[in-house]
Amino acid sequence: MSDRYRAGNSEELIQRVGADHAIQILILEPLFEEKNRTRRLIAQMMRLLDGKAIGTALPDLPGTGESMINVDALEFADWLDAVQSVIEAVQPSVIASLRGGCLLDASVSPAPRWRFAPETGVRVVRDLERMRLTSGTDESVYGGHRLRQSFVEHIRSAPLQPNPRCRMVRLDTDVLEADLKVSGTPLWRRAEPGEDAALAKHLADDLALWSRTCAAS
Amino acid sequence: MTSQVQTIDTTVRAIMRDVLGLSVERADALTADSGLFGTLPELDSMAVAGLLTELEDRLGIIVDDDEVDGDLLETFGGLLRFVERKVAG
Repeated sequence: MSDRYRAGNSEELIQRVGADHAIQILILEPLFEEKNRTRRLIAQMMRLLDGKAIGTALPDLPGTGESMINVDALEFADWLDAVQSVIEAVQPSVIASLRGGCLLDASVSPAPRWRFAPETGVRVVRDLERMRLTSGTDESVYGGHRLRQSFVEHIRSAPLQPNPRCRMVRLDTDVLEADLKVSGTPLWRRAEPGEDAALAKHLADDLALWSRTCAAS
Repeated sequence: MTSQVQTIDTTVRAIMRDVLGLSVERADALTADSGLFGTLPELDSMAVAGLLTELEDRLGIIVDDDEVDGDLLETFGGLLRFVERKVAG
């Protein structure tokens, strides 16, 4: 089913699977091109979680997905505000974020966090700038997205907010520390990502376990 | 090959598979003279960005923008030598 929430002057879509379940997870997708490349992975995770009686909510941020807003009309703060509005609408038990989406979970919400392969703001922007460098497009177009310079600078300085109840999951090829390392393919790097059903299962299993552990404590 | 050179070779081939979707056979068959940018159709400008970032993540190096030029990705051997120099510091 789909739901809507109000973000500033627009109404945006929330895709929900298993909205009747007691445990509800808000999912914050990777940013920009990586969002498209991980859509299938996230959809698979949502179905697997539904099978474990856990509901998921996947919002469009303003300027993304089905939104009628142009992203070049926005500041990064608009996305942070939109996430706060979704949190109020969904009242999630856990906030799960992937890649650059982890920069958006900085809300004061007490919901425990779950982060997969988080990206720092500096690295999100470096990727955007490299796409611009190698594709030779004009100054304000980053990998096909026209963005305000102030938006880009805000992402660059956006911190991964420390959180006392945060589970960190990374691919086993990542050299950084994590609570869990899983084997799998970095689908967000590929032009035609295909799928990695085993990775989707690993992630859904861990997210389900973490959600139940948090719900019980 | 020293063990560090071997590790770099293995890691770069794994990145070619993961980022470009090359089969194990095709990634294993790359030689020092194999052409990359302009030869591998999978390697477009977006893939270059992903390739460089994965190299940084998995090998703990930083690639500066001014080091990214045509030579860097001309051949597989050239890419390996660049990464070896980076890892050696």
